[in-house]
Amino acid sequence: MTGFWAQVAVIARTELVRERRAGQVLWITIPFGAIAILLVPIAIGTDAPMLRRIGPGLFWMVVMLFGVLVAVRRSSLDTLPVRDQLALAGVDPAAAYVGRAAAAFVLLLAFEVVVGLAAVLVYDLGSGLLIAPATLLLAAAGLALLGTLAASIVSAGRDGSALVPLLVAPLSVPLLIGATQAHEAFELGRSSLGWVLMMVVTTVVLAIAGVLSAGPLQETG
Amino acid sequence: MPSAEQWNWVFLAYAFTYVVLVVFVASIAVRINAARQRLGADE
Amino acid sequence: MTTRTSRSPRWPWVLLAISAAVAVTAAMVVGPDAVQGQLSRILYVHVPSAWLAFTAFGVTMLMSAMYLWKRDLAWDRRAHASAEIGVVFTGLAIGLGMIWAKPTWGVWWTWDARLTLTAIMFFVYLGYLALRRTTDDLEARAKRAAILGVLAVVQVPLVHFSVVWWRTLHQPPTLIKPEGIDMDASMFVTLMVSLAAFTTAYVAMMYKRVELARLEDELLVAERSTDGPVAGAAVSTPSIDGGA
Repeated sequence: MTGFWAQVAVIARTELVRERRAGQVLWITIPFGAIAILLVPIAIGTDAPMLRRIGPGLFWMVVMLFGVLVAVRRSSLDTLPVRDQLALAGVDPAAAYVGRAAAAFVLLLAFEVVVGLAAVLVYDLGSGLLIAPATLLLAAAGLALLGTLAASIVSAGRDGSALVPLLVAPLSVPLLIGATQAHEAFELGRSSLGWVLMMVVTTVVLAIAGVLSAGPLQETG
Repeated sequence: MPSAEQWNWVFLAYAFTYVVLVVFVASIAVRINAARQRLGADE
Repeated sequence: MTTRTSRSPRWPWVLLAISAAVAVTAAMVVGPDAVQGQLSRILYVHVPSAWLAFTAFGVTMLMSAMYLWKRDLAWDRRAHASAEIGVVFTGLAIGLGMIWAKPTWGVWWTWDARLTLTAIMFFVYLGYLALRRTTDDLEARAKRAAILGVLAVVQVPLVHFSVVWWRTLHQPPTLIKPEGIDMDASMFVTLMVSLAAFTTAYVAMMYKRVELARLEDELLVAERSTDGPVAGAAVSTPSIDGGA
C-alpha cells in the first residue's frame, strides 16, 4: 500500500516539476481561461445585472471547456521511453494514472482560483463563488480524473490533443450541472448537499474507471 | 393547425428519414464495394 | 464467418427494403390521433429512431466489454458498426424530434431532459468514432475504443441522472409530453410494428456494416504488408522529378 502511494507521490511531483519548468498551464492555459472571462461581455454586452446573474455559470463553463487543456498539457509520461522506463521499474500503471491526475488536480485548482478571481472582479460577483470549497475541489478532482483518463486513452494517437476536449465535454455534464446547481442553491440559501453528493459519486466513478483501465491501456504502448 | 399543413410536416419528417437512411445504407454499400475492389487489386 | 472471397450476401438489403415498406405502410394507414392529428405519424419514425439510438449505444458498450474480455477483434468490429449506426439514428431521432416539436410546441428545441440527453449522447458517439480514426493499429484502436465504450456506459447514466434532476427543478410542468397522451390500441399496434421494423432494419444494417468493418480491417492489414517495401525504398535515393 505504501508502495502504491509512494509511486503516486513521485509521479505527481515529477509532473509538477515539469510544469514548473515548462509553465504551460501557468503561462498559457490560465491566461487563456482569464481572457475567456473578459471576452464574454465584449460579445454579449456589459449590462452589470445580467453579468452578475450569468457570471457563475460562465465561470463554470470556462472551467469545464478550458480546464480540459490542463489535462492535455505535455506530460512527461507521454514519451514512449519514459513509459517503458516506468514499466521496467515496476511502476503500477494505476499509480501512474493517479499521480498524473493528482498533478492535474493541483493545476486545475490553480486554474479555478485565478479564473474565478477574474470572474468575481469583472462580473462583480459575490465571493460565494470562491468560498464554496467543496464544489471547487470536486470539480477540479472530477475534471482531472476524466481529463487524464481521456488523455491516456488517446495518447499515441494522431489527433490526440484535439480529441481530448471532445471526449471530455459531454461526459463532464454531471460535474457542470453539479457545480452550477450547488452554487445556485448556495446563493438562494437552499441545501446544496444533493448536488455535492452527485459530484462526489461522479468523481468516485471516474476514479474507479481510470484505475481499472490503467493496466490495459499501458499494454498498448 | 389545418390537416393539410400537418401533412406537410409529416412529409418533411418522412423525407428527412428517407434521405438520411438511404444515404447511410448506400454509403455502406459503396464502401463495401470499394474495399472489395481494393482487396481484389492487392491480390 | 464468411471469408474475403465469398460473395457479399444480398438478404440484408432485401430485409431493409421490406422493413422500410412495412414501417411506412403501417404509419400511413393508421388513423390520425385525436389530439395531435396527422402529426402523430411523425412519432412512428421518431420513437423507433430514439429507441434504436439507445439500443445501438447499448450494443456498442456490450461489444466493447466483450472485446476487453475475449480480445477478439470481431467484437470490436461489432462495437464499431453499432456505434456508427447509432450516430445515424441519434441524428435522425433529434432531427425528427425537432420536426415534430416545431408544429406542436412552436419551437425547434426545448430543454426536455431526454432531448438534452440524446444530444449529449450524439457527441459521446462522435467522440468514440473520432477516437477510432486516430490510429491504424488494430489492437490498440480496439482497446482504446473499448475502454472509452465502457467509460461511457458508467458515465452516461450519471449524465442522464444529472440532466433529469436539473430539468425537474426548472421545467414548467405544463409541457405536453408524447407519453402523457393516452394512446389508443391502433396507435399502439402501429408503434409496435414500427419498432419491430426499425429493429429488423438495424439487424440488417449491422450485418452489412460488420462486413464492411471486416473488409476495412483486412485492407489495413494488406496495406501495411505492402507498405513495407515502399517505406524501405523511400529511404534510398529520392528522385527530384518524383520518379513518376
